[in-house]
Parts: sequence; C-alpha cells; structure tokens
Amino acid sequence: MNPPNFVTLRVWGDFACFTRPEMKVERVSYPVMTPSAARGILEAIFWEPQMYYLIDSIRVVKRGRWISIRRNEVTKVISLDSAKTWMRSPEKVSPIQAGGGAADGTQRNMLALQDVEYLITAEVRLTPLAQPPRDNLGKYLREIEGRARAGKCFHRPGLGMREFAADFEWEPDPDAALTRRATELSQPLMRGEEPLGLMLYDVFDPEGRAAGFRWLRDDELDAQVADFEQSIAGVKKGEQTKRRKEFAANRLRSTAAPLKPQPLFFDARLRDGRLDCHPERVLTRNTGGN
Amino acid sequence: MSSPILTNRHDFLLLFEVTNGNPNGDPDAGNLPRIDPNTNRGMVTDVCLKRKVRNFLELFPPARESEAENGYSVLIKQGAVIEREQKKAETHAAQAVPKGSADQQAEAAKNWLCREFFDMRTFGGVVSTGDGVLKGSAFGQVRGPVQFTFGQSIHAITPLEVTITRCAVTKEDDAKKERTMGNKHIVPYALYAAKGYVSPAFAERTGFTEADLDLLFQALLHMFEHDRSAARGEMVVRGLYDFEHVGTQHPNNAEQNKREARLGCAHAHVLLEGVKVALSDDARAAGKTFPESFADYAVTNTWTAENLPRGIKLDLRHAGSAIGPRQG
Repeated sequence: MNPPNFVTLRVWGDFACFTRPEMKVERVSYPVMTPSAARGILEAIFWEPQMYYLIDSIRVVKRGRWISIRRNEVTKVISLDSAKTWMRSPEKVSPIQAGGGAADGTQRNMLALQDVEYLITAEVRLTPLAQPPRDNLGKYLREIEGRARAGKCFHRPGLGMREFAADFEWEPDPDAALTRRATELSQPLMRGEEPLGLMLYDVFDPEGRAAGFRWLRDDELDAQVADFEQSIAGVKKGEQTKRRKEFAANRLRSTAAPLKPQPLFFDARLRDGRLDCHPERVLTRNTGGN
Repeated sequence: MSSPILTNRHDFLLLFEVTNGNPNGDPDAGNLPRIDPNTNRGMVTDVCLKRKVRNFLELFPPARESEAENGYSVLIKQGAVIEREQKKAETHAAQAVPKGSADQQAEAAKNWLCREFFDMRTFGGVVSTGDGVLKGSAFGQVRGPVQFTFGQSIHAITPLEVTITRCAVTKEDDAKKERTMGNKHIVPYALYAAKGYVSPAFAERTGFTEADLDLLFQALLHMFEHDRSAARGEMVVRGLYDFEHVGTQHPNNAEQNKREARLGCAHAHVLLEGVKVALSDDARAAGKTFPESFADYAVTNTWTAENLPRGIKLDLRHAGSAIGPRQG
C-alpha cells in the first residue's frame, strides 16, 4: 500500500498523443504517458496554490496501438501586435486562411496512440502557502477523491492534446486495480523490464512548484506600481520612460518568480508495467536542462 | 439583453451519418475516407467538425446586438478568401488600446479577440507571446471552453472507389477525347459518434455565453445541410444529446448549485455511455451484420427522468425535448 498522501486515478481515452519535444512539428508520441501529462490531468480535476502533485508512478493498463493521422492545421499564430492594430482599425483584420492549399494552411502528420488506459499515482504535498490547520493534506485528499469519484473536473482533462479527452475514475489501490483490469480485459500482466530512453519529465523543475504561488491582488499590484513611481520620482523624464519600460517588462504578477520553461528529462523504464517517475528517485541535478 | 456567461458544464454526444459520400478525406491515403487501420472503423477528425461549425457561422452570423456585445466573426477561415470581399462583409468594434504596461495591453488585445471572433471564444487559439521570458510557455494559449473529440463510426466501414466520367476535360491534350475518367471514394453507409465537452472555467476567461452555446448547437445540427457536395454525399445529424450539469441542490440554493454545476455532477463517460447505439432487432432478424441505412440502427436513450443521475438535465437537441433534472 502507498503512504496516505498518495492518490491514484485510472484514466483512459480513445486516443492519446504525448508529444516528444524533439519532434513537435509533426507530432510523435512517447509510447507511454509522460509525468507532465499525468500532472496536467490531475490539475484539470483539482488544483490549488496551497498544494502540488509529484507524479510517483504511471502503471500501464492498455498500451494502445500506434495510429498515424494527417490533418489540416495552420502555420500561423495570432500576433498580439496585429491584434492591437485591429483593435484600433478593425478594417485591417486579416483572417487566418486555413484548409488545403490556403496561405496559412498546412498538413501535419501525427503519430498517436489509440485506446489507452493508465493508472496515475501521485504524491500530494503542501506548499508554504498552506496555512494549517485550515489548509491540511486531509482536506485536499478528500477533495481530490470526492471529485474523482463523482466525475467532477475544473476542465475536461486530455491525454496529451485537448481533442483526446480523458475519462477518469478513482482507484483506492493501484496494484489491485492493475490486476483487476488485466482480468477484466483478459490480458496478461506486463512482465519484465523495458527501457524507454530519455523521456520528458516536465517543463519546469518540480522544486519551483514546491514553493507554490498565488496571483497578486489588485491592491498589491497597485502598491507595486506606486512604490516604483516613488523610486523614480527624482530622475530625468527620459530616464523615467526607460525605467518604466523595464519595470513593465519585468514586474511580477504573482508571488513566484516567472519560470522560464525548461525541459527536464529522465531515464524512463517500464518495469512490470509500471513507469517509476517520482522526481526524488528519477531526477538528479545533472539530468535536467539543456 | 446580453446573455450571461456560461456557468454549467456540458458533455454532449453527436451522432451523424453519411450515405454514399466521403465525410472526411485522408490526405495520407489519396483522399480515401479516413479509416482506422486497426479496427476498420471510420474516423472524422475534430478539426473537420470545427471547420463545419466555422463555415456555418460564416454563412449565418447572427446579428450583433451592440458593439459592446460579443461579435460572431470567424478568425480562421477556409480556403483562399478574397480579402477585399472580407473587409466589406465584416465590421468589428474598434477599441482603444489602453495605456499602461505591456501586460495590460496584451490582456486587452486577447479580450478583444475573444469578443469579436466566435471561434476564438469557443475553441480558443494560440497567440504569440514574443521573445520575452514567456516565449514557449502556455501563456499565449487561449483555451476555449469547447472541446471536440474525433468522431468514430459505430461499425467498420467499407470505402468504395467509384469511377465517374468527367465530361469536362481539364487538359488541353485531352480536348479531343471530350470525356475522361475520374474517380472518387464513398462510404456506402456509416453512423459516426463524436463526443464534445464544454468547460465553464474557460468560458469565464473567453466570455463564452449561454447564447454562444445555443448557437454552437444550432451550428452542429445544421452544419451538414449547408455543406452539400457531390463528394460529401448525404450527411445528416441523427442525434445531439446534450447533458447539462445543473447542480444537485434545491433550486432555492442557487449559489451552491452554480458552484457544483461548474465542476459537474456526474462522470461524463457514464452519461455518454447511457446512449446506446446498436443494430436494430429487425436488422439482426434479417441476418444483417452490417448497417445499410439508419433504419438498421436502434439508438436507445436509456436515460429517463427517473434514472438520470441527480443534477443532470439531458437536452435532446435534435428532438427539441428535455429530460430531467430529477427532482428531490
């Protein structure tokens, strides 16, 4: 059995694509769900700044089959600068032209998985923002369990992509669930060890998450601006404009420093159908970053 | 009157059929109807369905009540559009870019996009975040409240190649022939099911209203009627089961209900699996293993006012009737 602050969810869906970062234009999925995809599912169901998830392991119930899908996509993103121009002069709006042969359209391939099912086990921890006894682990664990059992979610979770929606169910015991599902599906339990190579852990250091953060309130933001204005009151006009620009670019809107997305990788191994991915076991300081 | 922002979760099931047509060609297979090689079931991508919704909106944009209300333009258009035509046809509400920090300006620009464009507000989009610290992050992602999944056919499909005579030749060299042979691919008959989800948490962020959702369902019900072509064959929507989560509390307890309805009151898969599609008894008795028309299918909605999970209202959007929510 797992420690009491562990939760397990069974998730499944018709399709999944856990895109490898090295092949993200024409997407190629990892063969198994990544820890960051699992975190995304849990956070779609429940998340609060006072707590965070560390994905402990992912058990594979159904590996799925590979399927290749080619679709029409667009190459363009919406530029905020043009949006600002459009706001002032709406006659300048130029739509994005999608579809076969159109200026902004393109066909992209995707190598996805079909018919997958996993058991996600995660450790729930409190961040320093939690104020006991009001914010305690028990409360969050009950909330997660309640939501997972009742099918409640903040937004519909997805298996790597939003069009690959995921269904979920609470599981009290991951190992028992794995055995039960194998019997229900009349398939043998996965045995043996299979190295999956380097796998994306997440796009930020889990320690960054441990600090927790909350968005600043309006009065705090105002105070921030007032403090800044006071600090530049004595300087020259030109210098003021320059400093204001700098300030606007660097000011914080939350209690945490902005995290620059940075990929972290780990050596993924499937042992008896279980992918061990607890950061304290699989991440060492020197495997991260690029 | 302006419509309120959507506050209730919705999960919906769309059943649609194709007769002698190609619902969604596969560019990897010479425009053959998409087929899942593992099961031989037909597929229709999410983007194919979204395209039809957008095209419908372009044909029938509702009148905008005022410049302060949501607009119904479409940002991602199909094919080569004649830009000048577009400019004539569309009016957007101008808005001054606020003075202030880059953050506030970005926020204002995002909100403006969501307000003016129905597809941005509904399906979301990716906005460039420049080269700053947020480049490559999810900050530029506007997540729309509406999510479509791939449509899959209930049974395996058998695409046919049909050879046709073209009496208008394309090449100068063939002018003497007067006719050339061409071909197209059709699915003789198939019924497809696609699931969709609406997350109110994102509706708050993009300003997606209840009127917008009604409009989306209108578009889903009628999109194929305005997408007719020889290649498409006959496509008909046979069912749109919209499960609305309304909250399990007493109607007097509106605030609590609203909180509950935002997260939902039941598992989506349980609700959607309650609509069962199978070969009809008649078809089975006749020895058919394979549907030839919708008459060979029995679509059974097992949900009744008594067994529908508490806090759920089932809107049969194709029939204009509703079941639930269960009282007491």
